[in-house]
Amino acid sequence: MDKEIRADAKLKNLGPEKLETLWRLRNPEEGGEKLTLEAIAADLPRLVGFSASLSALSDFFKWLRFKRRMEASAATATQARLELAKDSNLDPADIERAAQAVFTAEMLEAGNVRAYVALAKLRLAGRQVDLDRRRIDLLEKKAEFADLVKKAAENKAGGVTAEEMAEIERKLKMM
Amino acid sequence: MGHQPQAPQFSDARVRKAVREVCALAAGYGKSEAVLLAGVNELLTGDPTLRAVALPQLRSGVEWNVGKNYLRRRKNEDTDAHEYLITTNGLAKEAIE
Repeated sequence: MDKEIRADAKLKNLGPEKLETLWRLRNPEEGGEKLTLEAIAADLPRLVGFSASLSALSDFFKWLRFKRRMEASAATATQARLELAKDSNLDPADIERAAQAVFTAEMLEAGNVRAYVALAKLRLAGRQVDLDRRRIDLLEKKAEFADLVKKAAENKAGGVTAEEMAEIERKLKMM
Repeated sequence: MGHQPQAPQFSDARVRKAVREVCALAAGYGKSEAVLLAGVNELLTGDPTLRAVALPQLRSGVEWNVGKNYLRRRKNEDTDAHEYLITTNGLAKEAIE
């Protein structure tokens, strides 16, 4: 026997227009009347073609509030992504990560896109500084190693053999 | 002496479903553990600050969904934290419930 689809599942699968209609019943525009769950339940068959219990309606409105907040956060993140995409120095992966950071911050606390974009740019710039620092460290290590090799060669009678030179080059490549 | 109102308790099955529901919304974005915790509590109680579902129960619900391939995990390189995304299997599971 087919499992009957639960009313809250049917409610969650309504189209955007019906969802907006139901949302407005609980969250009316200024001056509008906020309906009780009981009143909405009584009118539900006319509005959407099926009925639902009060508990299903209550769960549905919790979900709908959360869905709207989630969608608003996603819209803010998309706005930040577009803002960052104007900067041609940023690669798409960095922009994606920044948009994800905006989304997470928006979900945890209402935020301001400009501030997030500025923060994301600072974070990306910070990462670039880290990369540059690591490159410099590496170059310094290579230079130190080359100095050591040179000194060793100077102190050794007959200089460095071909095998020793190959080993030195191999080590340098590994750095 | 006054007493704190008791937060409602939810079954593991209900928490697992709520985890999928949170991940199914804005599905392109990963949900950190903090987002999941606030989201699951908001979905179940209407109040994101209420801790009807605590972190251990949430983690167990997340792991169950990852184990069933309803969610996938990825690491955010910026925060070093894991984020969760719903899979096509997870979306299908949501659609039939």
